[in-house]
Amino acid sequence: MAIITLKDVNKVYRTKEIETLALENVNLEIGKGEFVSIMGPSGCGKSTLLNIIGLLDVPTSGVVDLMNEPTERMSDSRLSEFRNRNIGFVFQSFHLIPSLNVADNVALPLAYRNGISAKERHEKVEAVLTRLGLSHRMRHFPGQLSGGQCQRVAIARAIIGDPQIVLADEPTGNLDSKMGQEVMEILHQLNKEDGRTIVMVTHNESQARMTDRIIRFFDGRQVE
Amino acid sequence: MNYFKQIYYEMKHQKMMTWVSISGTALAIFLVMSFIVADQINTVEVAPETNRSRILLGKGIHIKMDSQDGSTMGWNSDFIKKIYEGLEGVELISYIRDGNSNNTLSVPGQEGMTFLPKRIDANFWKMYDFKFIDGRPFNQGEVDSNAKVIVLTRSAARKLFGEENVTGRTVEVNMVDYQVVGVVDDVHPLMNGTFAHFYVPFHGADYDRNDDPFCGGTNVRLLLKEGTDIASVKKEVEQRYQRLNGEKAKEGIEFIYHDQPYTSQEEGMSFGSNNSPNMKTHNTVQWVVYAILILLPAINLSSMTRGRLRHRVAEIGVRRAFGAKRRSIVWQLFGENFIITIIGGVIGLVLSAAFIMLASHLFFKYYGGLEASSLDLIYARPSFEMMFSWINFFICLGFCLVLNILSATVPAWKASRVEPAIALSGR
Ligand SMILES: Nc1ncnc2c1ncn2[C@@H]1O[C@H](COP(=O)(O)OP(=O)(O)OP(=O)(O)O)[C@@H](O)[C@H]1O
Ligand SMILES: [Mg+2]
Repeated sequence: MAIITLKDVNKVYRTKEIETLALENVNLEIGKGEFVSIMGPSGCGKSTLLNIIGLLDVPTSGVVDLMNEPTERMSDSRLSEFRNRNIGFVFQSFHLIPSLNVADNVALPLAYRNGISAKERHEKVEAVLTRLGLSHRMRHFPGQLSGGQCQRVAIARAIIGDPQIVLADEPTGNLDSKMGQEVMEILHQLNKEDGRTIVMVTHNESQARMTDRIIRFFDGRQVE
Repeated sequence: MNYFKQIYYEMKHQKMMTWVSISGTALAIFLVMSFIVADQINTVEVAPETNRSRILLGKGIHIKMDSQDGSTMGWNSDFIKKIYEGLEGVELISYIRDGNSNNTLSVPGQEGMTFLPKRIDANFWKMYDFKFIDGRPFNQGEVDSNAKVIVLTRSAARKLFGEENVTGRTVEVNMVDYQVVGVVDDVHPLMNGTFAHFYVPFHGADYDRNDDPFCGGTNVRLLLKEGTDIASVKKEVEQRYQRLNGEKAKEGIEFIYHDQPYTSQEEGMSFGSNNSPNMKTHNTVQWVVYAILILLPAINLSSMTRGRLRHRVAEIGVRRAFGAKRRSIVWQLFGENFIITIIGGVIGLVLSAAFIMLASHLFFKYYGGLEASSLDLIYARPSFEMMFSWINFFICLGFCLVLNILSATVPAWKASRVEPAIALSGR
C-alpha cells in the first residue's frame, strides 16, 4: 500500500532571467515501510522532490498524496500540523538550532504539539537520546558535538514525534565514512525495527544498494 | 523554560546586535521617560502637597490702565477677596505671600544666617499636609493680631539652634524678635507651593499700597472640594473679572484674566506673568515629542531586528519543517524582541531617574533664591518618591510595547512568510 503518491508532478522555478524545470512529470509511489534511495547528478532535482514530498514546497502542477490524504488543498496551518505528526526531516548540514541544547533541539517537534506535559516531553527526549547513544550529551550545545553526533541528534529530533515518514537529504554528505556508516545503520534500524518509511537522497552507490529500491533522476526526470 | 533559555543564548551568540538593540531601546525609553518624569514633578503628590490636584494658585494680577500694561505678583488684600471669596466648590481659601526674598535670621550670640520665608495664614496649615516634629502651627488669631510667631523647618532649626525641638525659643527675623511655636519637617524645594525654610504669619494689609486699590502683596490658594470641576471654578473667576471690567471700563481700567487660578501643572510651566498657560499646546507638543522619540529609534531597531533574524533564517525553516505554524513563529519572535525591549526599557527608566536626579537643575524651575541658600544643596534633587510611580512604570511598559510592535512586527511577519524550503536551502 502506497504511503507516498506523486502524480504528474512538475516543479518550475522562475527567476527574473531563467526558468528552471526542476521536476518534470514525476510519477511515484512509495509503499509503507519501504526504504527508498534517490540518486542522480547534482542539480537534477532530488532536494526539490524531497521538499515536495515533505510538504515544505508545493509543486507547480500535479498531486501529492501522503498517507492517502490529498495535500493540495491543505492550509498552511494544516500543512504544519501534518508535518509535525507524520514527517521527520534529516538534513545534510544537520540544521540544529545553535542556541538550543541537545535536549531542546530534540524536543522541538513536541513544542508544536498540544497536550504534551513537560514530564512526558522529558521522558521522550531521554528515551530517544538513549536509543541513539547520546543521553550523556543532553545539556551540550550543537557547537560542542562532532558531526556524527550532530547528525544523531538530528535523527533523534526527526523521530521523537513518531512520524511514519522520514525524509533524509544526503544525511551522510557531511560525515566521514565511519560516521556515515553509523548513521546508515541507525536509519536501517528505524526502517526495520520501527517500520518507518524512509526516503533518502544519496550520492553513495553502496549505501543506495543497501536500500529496498533506488530511484534515479536526470535533469528533473525519473530515469529508473 | 526553553523559551527564556533560548533568548539568553541568542543574546550571547549575537552580542553585538543584542547590545545595540538593548542600548537603542534604553536610549529611547531614557529620553521619553526623562521628559515625562520632568513634566510630572509639577503634579506629583508628595507631602506636604498631597492635595495638589485639588489646589489652585492665584499668582498675580494683570491690569491695563489707560492702555498702559501693568502687572504685579500680588493683589490688594481687600480687592483679592472680591475675586476669590465665596466661589462655588471651594472648600478652603488661604491668603499668603508668594514672592519672598531671603531674610536674615539670628539667635543671640550668633551671626545671622539667610533663609527663605513663606508668609501664610492659618488655613495654609490645613490645606497642606505638614509634618510637625515639634510644637504646633500658628492660628488665625495670631495671624490677625500680627503676632510675632514663627514655625521653623527642621534644617533651619538645626542651623540656628543645633537642635530640632526648639519650641518656645526666640529667634530674630530682620531684627525683630519672634517666638518659635513649632518645627516642621523639611519641604522639598521642588514642592514650590510650600517650600520655605520658615513660616510666619502673613498680614496682607502690610503689603498694600496706599494709592493702589488693586495691586499689592497678597496671593491666594484655593482648596477645591473633592470632585469640583476646575474649569467651572476658573469660569466663575472669569465672570467676576468680566463684571468688574464692565464697571471699570469708564475709568479706563481693564483686568486681564489669564486663566487664573492655576493648577500646579500650569504653575510649573514657565510663562510670563502677562501670558496665559496653554495646556492644550503644551500637551500636544509633549505627545509629538514622545512620538518622535519613540519612532526614530523604532526605525533603527526594526533594522536591527531584521539583522538578527537574518542569522536565523535556517532556524525558522527548521521550526516550520517540524510543525511551527506561521503564527507560532510570529509570536516567538515578537516575544523574544519584547524581552530585549523590556531589558532596554528598564535600563532606560533607571537611567532617566538617575539623570534627572543628577541634572535636576537643568529641568526644573526651583523656587527663586534657592541658589543663594547653602542649606538645601543636599536635597535640591527630586526624592525617589517624586520620581518613581507605578504609573510611570506602566507608561514605560506601554512605550516598550509600542516600540516592540513598531520594531518587530514587520521583521517577524516577513520571517514567518518565508517558504520553509527556501529558508532551509539558505538561498
Ligand atoms: N528556490 C529555487 N529557486 C530557483 N531555482 C531553484 C530553487 N531551488 C532549486 N532550484 C534549481 O532547481 C534545480 C534542482 O535543484 P535541487 O536542489 O533539487 O537539486 P539536487 O538534485 O538536490 O542537487 P544537489 O545534489 O546539488 O543537492 C537546480 O537547477 C537548482 O538550481
Ligand atoms: Mg540537494
